[in-house]
Amino acid sequence: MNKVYDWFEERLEVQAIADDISSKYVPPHVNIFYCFGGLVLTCFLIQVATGFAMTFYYRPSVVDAFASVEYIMTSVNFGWLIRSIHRWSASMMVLMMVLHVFRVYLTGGFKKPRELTWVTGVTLSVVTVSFGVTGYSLPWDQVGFWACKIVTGVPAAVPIVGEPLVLILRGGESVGQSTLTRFYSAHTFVLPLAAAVLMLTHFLMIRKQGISGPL
Amino acid sequence: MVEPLLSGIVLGLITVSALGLFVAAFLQYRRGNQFEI
Repeated sequence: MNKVYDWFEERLEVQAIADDISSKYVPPHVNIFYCFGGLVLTCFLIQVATGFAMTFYYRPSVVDAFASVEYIMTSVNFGWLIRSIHRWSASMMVLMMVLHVFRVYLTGGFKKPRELTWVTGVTLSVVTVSFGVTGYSLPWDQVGFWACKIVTGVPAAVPIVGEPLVLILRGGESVGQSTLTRFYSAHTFVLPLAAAVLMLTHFLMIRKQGISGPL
Repeated sequence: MVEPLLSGIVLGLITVSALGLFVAAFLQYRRGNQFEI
């Protein structure tokens, strides 16, 4: 074991990383409410795992989507469990995120020098809600379809850029296959990528500046 | 669709957490600075 460790230490200086991780202490003003941020990350990891599992069976077409979700729920081994966990963890992720915002706001964690952490956090919350909106429509059932129609129609209220924005969101004049394709692509590629990059910056800044101080 | 279990978890955790944060803040305020710095 020592030889393996020495081999890595010689090449990657892992001791420096280990020292950095083990040298951080939790200050006494930290209470249970400081867990919410970590819980959001936990929910996100559950979403990645269960979501990835479902990509093996889900088919993003207006004809097949609902049938494939039905197949996941009734025929796939533990498919009902995987999808139910994905649904519940999605709600819990948004809830934990809201509670995390409560904690950060009420302990003044957004103040100097942590403004950029707050900005990446707000952007992450937009990404999280977008995950929810796109994911809700993927089964292409009645609620999903109409939610999609309403949500993609909202930007039409914005002057000048509103109408073109609706066209971009829907991929055409009406809600159809191109909308589902866009939502699927956003839900499984664009948003996860954006979330990963934003989370990395969020965490690196927390790591660099440490946990915020007492009131 | 109103889901009673989900609504209970959401509304319950939001009230308990918000109250808890204010209680924690009040306790910190009452304790004051004990380091004299």
